[in-house]
Amino acid sequence: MARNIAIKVARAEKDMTQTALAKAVGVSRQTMNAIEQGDYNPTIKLCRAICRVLGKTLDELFWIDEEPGSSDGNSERR
Amino acid sequence: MSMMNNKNFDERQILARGKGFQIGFLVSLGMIVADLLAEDFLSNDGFIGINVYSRAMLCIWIPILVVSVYFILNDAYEKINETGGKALMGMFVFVGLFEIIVTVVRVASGSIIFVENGVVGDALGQIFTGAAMLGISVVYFVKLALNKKTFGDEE
Repeated sequence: MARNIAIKVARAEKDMTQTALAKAVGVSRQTMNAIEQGDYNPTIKLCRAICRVLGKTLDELFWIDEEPGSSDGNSERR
Repeated sequence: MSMMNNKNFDERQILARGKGFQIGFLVSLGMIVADLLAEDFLSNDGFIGINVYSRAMLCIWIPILVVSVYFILNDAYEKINETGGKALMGMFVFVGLFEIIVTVVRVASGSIIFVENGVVGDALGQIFTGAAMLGISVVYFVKLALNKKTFGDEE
């Protein structure tokens, strides 16, 4: 799974550390790091909690654009 | 269970712990089979047997070691914001070392016999228990140091 740069950027906009975001969302710092590194795919509940804290939408943080030439026409969630 | 309850494990940790317990269960089954095979195989002439206590300690501590190491390596050992791990692991180091040193001294002094009548006695179980405790705590402190190095510079 690809790294999630959007969360890192949104965190920086809010001047939040990874620890602070993890605490605000209610997960461990290692889990938040795993999400940002693309090593863990969070549940929708956790995604929404992260979006709520960072003031972003699900699309902004967890959706990637459909790749050109993709045959099934489906967008992919990070 | 509320995700905001910081006294519990988070969702990733719960998944990791589930996987860890699954592995521990399979290791336990393997140990039971190994114990039964060892009892038959090692009781033949020419082989050294292992007494019941030591076999029991091996069957208990090997799965515990595997599960604990899996939890520690996947950061699923401590709950969110839990801080008691260092104290417990410090105790493990002390008890593990104590167990090993006392047993080795007693074997060296002759007060307990390591192998008697072709059967390994309690000493093996005691040494393995100490080694398992020591092993778990070593993995914990190494992981702690690695995490500090990885997460040290806040971004």
